[in-house]
Parts: sequence; C-alpha cells; structure tokens
Amino acid sequence: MSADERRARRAGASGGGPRNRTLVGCWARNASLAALVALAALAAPLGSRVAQAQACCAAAGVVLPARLRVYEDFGLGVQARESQAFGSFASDGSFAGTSSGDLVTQQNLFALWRTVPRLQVGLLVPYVETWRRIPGRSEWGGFLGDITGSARVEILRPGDLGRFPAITLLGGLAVPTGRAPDEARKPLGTDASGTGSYEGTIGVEVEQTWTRWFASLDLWIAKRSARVAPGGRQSFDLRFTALAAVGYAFASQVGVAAFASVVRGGGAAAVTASDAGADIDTRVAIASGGIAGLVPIDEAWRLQGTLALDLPFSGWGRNQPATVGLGTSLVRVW
Amino acid sequence: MNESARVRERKGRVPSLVLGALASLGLAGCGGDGQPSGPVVFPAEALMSLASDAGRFVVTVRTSPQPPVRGVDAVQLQIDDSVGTPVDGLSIEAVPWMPAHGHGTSTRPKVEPQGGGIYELTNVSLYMAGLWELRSTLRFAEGADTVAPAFDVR
Repeated sequence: MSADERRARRAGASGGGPRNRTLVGCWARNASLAALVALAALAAPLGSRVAQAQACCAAAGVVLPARLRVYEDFGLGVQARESQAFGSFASDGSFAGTSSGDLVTQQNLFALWRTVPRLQVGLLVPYVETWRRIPGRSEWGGFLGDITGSARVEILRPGDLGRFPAITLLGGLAVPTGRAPDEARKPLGTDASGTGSYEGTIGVEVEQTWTRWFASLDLWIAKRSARVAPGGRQSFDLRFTALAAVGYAFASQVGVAAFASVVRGGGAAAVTASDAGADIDTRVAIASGGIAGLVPIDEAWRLQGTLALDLPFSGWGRNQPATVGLGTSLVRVW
Repeated sequence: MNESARVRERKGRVPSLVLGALASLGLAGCGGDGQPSGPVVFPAEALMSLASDAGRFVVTVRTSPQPPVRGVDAVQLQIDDSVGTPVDGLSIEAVPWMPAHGHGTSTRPKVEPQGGGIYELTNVSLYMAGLWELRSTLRFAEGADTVAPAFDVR
C-alpha cells in the first residue's frame, strides 16, 4: 500500500459523519487490543503453554497479544510479562495461598501482517523464564517457548451493517518448540517453557461501540494434541475460554479497559486404571479480572499495559495456580 | 482411591505483598543449594492404601513429610499380595506426574527395597503445587502391574 493510499484509508477511518463510528471503532480496537494483551497474561497458566508451572500453562497461545487497525499493514512488537503465583486451586476447587510461588517472566516478540484487507496473520515467539523455590533450594532457568501462529478474519467490521457489531473469527496454532517439564534439564524444571503438545484454537470475537465506549466478547475453544512422556500417554479434553471487556477511549487517544475472563477445561483423559477407577478430578478452571491501558506514542508507536489477577476464591478455580501478572507491550506499526 | 485418601495442606495464607514479589525479579537468579528434605521418617499411620490396577497387589503409602509438601519428598510403598503377604523382589519404576497438566518431572525417584515388602522412594520431586500422581510400575517375574497414588500438594 502506498503512503497516499494509507493516508486516504486513515482519513477514511477518522472522518466525519458515518465515519465517526469507524473512528470510535478504531480506538475501541486499540483499547480492546490491550485487553487481548491481558488475555495472554491470563491464559498462560491455564493453557499451560508454559507448562503450568510457568505458567503451566496456557493460553498464551490463543491469539497474538496484538492486532492491526483497519488501515495498518504490518506490525512488530515486543511484550514483557511477569507473573507471580500467590496460591493454587486444588482438584476440589479449594484455594490455598503461598508466599513461595513461582515467578515467571516472559518476553515475546510478535509480528503481524495484513495479507488481504480482512485477514491478519501473526507469529509470536516467546522466551520463558522461571524462578522456583522449594525448601532448601531455588533455581532459575529459561528457554524458548512454544511458537504460535494466529489468524484473524474480519467478517464484519464496525459500521459494515449499521449498528450491527463487528465479528471476527480467530484461529491459532501453538507448536511445541519449548521444553515440556519432563524434558527440562534442571532439577526443578525451571527451564521448562512449553507443553510438549500442539494446541489448536478457534474462536470468535464480537465487538460493539457506543461513541467512546466499547465492549467486546471473545470465545475460544482449544484442543491440545496427545503426548507421550515417561509417565505415559495422555490426551486432553477441550478447553473453553471467555473474555469480556469494557472500555473507554479518551479524546487524548488513551484507551482504558476492564476485563474478566473464565477458563474451563475437561482436563486430561484417564490413562491408567488407577485414574479410571479413582475420583481424580483433572478438570481445570480459573476466573480472572484485570485492567488494561493503551497510550499512543505517535502514529506508528503505541505502548500498552495490563494488570491481571486470578481471583483467589475457593470454587472459582481448579487444578491451577493463582497468579497476579503485569504485562507491557511496545508495538510499531506500518 | 477415595477422596479421603487425598492429601491437602491448607495454608490458607495469601501473601500481602504479591506485587512486591514482582519487583524481586532482580534477586531471582540468586539460587541456593543444599538438600531440601529433612531426615526421612515415615509415620506409622498410612496415608492411603489402594489396590494395584490389575488387583494383584495392595499398596500402602506413607510419605515423608506426611502429607507431602511442595518440594523433594520421600515415599514408602508397602506392597502386599491379595492375601496380605509382603512382596519382595519387585522392580519398581516411579514417575511423578501432573494429570491435570499432562506432564512429569525432569528427575526420577530412586527406589530402594527395604525388605518385608517395603520400598522407599527418595528424590520424589513435587516442585509445583497441584494434583500429582506417582505413576508406578511394579515388575515381577511373570509380568507387571501398575498403581498411581495421588496427592494434592500445596
């Protein structure tokens, strides 16, 4: 796309009359982008894309923590996340706090490309580090995480059908390039950075705007491939994720949002007769909330941040660590 | 295994300065060393007792500490046949496993027969909070049986 064309499209996205709706949509997209960044923070311990310890878990692989606006063709970004486990949910849903939970840091590089006007593809390359301590020992380690590819198909953009909400189809595939915990080389497994499984994700996003307010709802279904490890072969049931966000775009172009997320999964299928005959509950669940913000630096650069908290109430989670996480992203777009 | 056989240590304590811990990242590389476990002492009271998958054995489980905690623990398996006779001479391979997350550990327990049907497993690394299984294969001359005691580790 030429510079003139880009300017024309940008102008088209921010003009008057009916275009005002698109303007709001653009800013809403920015703010909801921050919410999506938050999703990555939320999903890590759940989707176990970083081996559950690291946040074991997860669905930092559902979608890229960024998306392009309607007039942007390429994007490059870097994201830094830190999460601290402050407790865990047992298999019966009871919560217990801890002062010695894992500290996980993750640095993500991501690239975005609008291949055709309504299709974005992206690639996320994470590096995951974990600090873990048990009585008498602590350990620090890290490795390349599970690389994730994603796609967004914009079925309906804001304003395409009057007040009908924007609808986007989402897809993603995480490849087990990281080390699974049982493949780690350090005694406490801190260099574990992946799940050892492929994970495919499909979803849909619905987004609506009202002047400067916006709301969005994302729904995902994820499926991990079975894996074989020294402990045996294990398959996994579907995992469902819902993320709702509400936000506001200020005239200064700063966007803020609050979000809530729920993840529920069927856990692992029984492998041994002991599993099958027992009442072992391997289902996973977690509920989270948080805030997100976006600050445009200029037309090409934007800075985003999130604060997310897994809600530490018994019955609100199962078989998951509870974490609090901070994330910041710097994105350059063309 | 029934629910009562599960082990749960409920500290019920939420750190007041979780966010402060995030700022401690700069100290995170300062790992210590040393043996994490205290002396290996198994209590007289069993933690659980369960039948092997094929029903050939009855396995009574004790841990040190009991219940097991996040860290490196020890496990004692007392193995009897179906009529209560202790079984020696088994070759045991045990793998800690998190069934909800689908992974094991990078280290393997060391198994030492003690006689009288008792086998002690040391270096049982349960380094994460959560549901763990100790997936164990019990090999004997004619074949093998399996058993997987489970622990909710906090």
